[in-house]
Amino acid sequence: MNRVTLINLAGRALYVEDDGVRAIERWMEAARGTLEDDPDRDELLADFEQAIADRCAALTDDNAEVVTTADVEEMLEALGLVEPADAIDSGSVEEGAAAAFESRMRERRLYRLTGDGEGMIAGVCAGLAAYINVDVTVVRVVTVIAALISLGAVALIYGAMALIVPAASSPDERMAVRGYGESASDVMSRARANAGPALASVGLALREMGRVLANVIYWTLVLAIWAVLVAGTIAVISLFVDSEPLATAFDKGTSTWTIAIWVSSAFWLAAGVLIALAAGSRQLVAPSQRRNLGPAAVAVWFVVMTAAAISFITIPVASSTQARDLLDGDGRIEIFGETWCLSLEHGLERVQDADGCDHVLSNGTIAKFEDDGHTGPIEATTQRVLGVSKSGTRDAHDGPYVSAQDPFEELTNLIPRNRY
Amino acid sequence: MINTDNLFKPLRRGLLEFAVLTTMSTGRHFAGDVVERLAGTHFASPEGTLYPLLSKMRRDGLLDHEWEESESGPPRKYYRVTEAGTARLGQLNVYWRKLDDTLKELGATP
Repeated sequence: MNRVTLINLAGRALYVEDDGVRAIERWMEAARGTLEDDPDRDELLADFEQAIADRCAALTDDNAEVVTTADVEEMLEALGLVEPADAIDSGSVEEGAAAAFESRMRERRLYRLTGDGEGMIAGVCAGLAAYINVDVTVVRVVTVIAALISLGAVALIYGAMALIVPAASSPDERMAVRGYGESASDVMSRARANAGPALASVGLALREMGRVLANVIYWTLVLAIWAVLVAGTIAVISLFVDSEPLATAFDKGTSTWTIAIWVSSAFWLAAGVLIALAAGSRQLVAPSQRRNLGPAAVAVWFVVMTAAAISFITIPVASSTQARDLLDGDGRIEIFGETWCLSLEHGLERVQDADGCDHVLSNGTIAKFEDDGHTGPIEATTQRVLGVSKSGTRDAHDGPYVSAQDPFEELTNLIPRNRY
Repeated sequence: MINTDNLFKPLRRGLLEFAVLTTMSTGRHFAGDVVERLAGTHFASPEGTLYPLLSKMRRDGLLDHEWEESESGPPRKYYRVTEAGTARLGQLNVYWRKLDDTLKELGATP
């Protein structure tokens, strides 16, 4: 059974087998390439299309409803190789031009080979092997070794290729990987002719080794892909940092990265479990009751994760701008029920903390006070200093500290996270 | 035994333009007609070779083309030999005879 496509060739609607359509496209592409320097290229291409259409029409008039791939190949054969006019005009035998057209026609294209007995994972190695005309086992062994040496980088490239390179889905595409000039049986017979019995046994051993190694790559890849997903999610989450909102879900002071790692791991673990459940449910349930839980699992996962994402995003984040807005004229700021003093424009202030230690509050220093109801400019001696900031830690005995950072940012960092 | 002899291929190719002009001189022709007319002769050439040649000859002013509506599909393109083309054909005919005569002379026993 072959799929058929309805195409418009020079204004004529024709049913042509898919591989035939591709053959026509390939021929036209090659013609376009060969006639690149011809000023009448577009006109010529239209003429060729017309010629193909006429021949197709003659075929379908006769008996068939559909133009088969064989018909197309025969037709293209009859149209011959496109030669630039200069080559003909000069009277020289431009074998070069004809050869160029032929090679354009037979241009190899890289596809993944995912059929039975072809690819093991995503068919990347099988496709590459066919493309460069090397035994697939050799490619696999080289890939595994390269993956190990490059500490997984090659595995990532493999993953990328699995996503980018299309899978061969028709005989035509399968042929395109090997180059059209060579059918699979050509390759096989040549391999047989070349390889003696000794080589064959070496090949067998290599094949076996390749099989084991391929299993190793498979699991390495699964882990690598998981790691990449987790890392990617971490990167996305870290974009939303100040991730104080995340921190509230855990202990205060837990580093953003730790949280991001936890969250993203949980995220993909949940996805994995759901997918596994969905896949497993198909095996476990009796065929009569079998239902595809995949969509349901994905829906649940999507809803849960969306809810989580929304709740994280909508939790207010105290930013240094907000802190600045809250600061009143006397350098006092009240955030979440705590009073802080920010010595910004008042010059050096000498304050005494609860233990009687002196602190010099220079510009940019932040101190937390237990408010006794006193208002007005900082006269800290009348208040108890509970802490003076230094790199985000609060310690009454740290002594004078001049913050190098934006004091507002420093202030934001000082605010206890559990007060959100 | 038409065209199987690769030995004379360069000769035939050199004369292809001559052959096309001669074919065309009988009136106006659809490009496909020329392919058909030449098929089965020593000058048999596929579309892939002839079409670019026809368009080159038109650029050189030897041929002219005109469009004509057809019952099916888009308008068809017909070629005609121009005056310059007729003149060129004349020259070619004369030259061809000269060549032939020269070859005969060379072969004649002195």
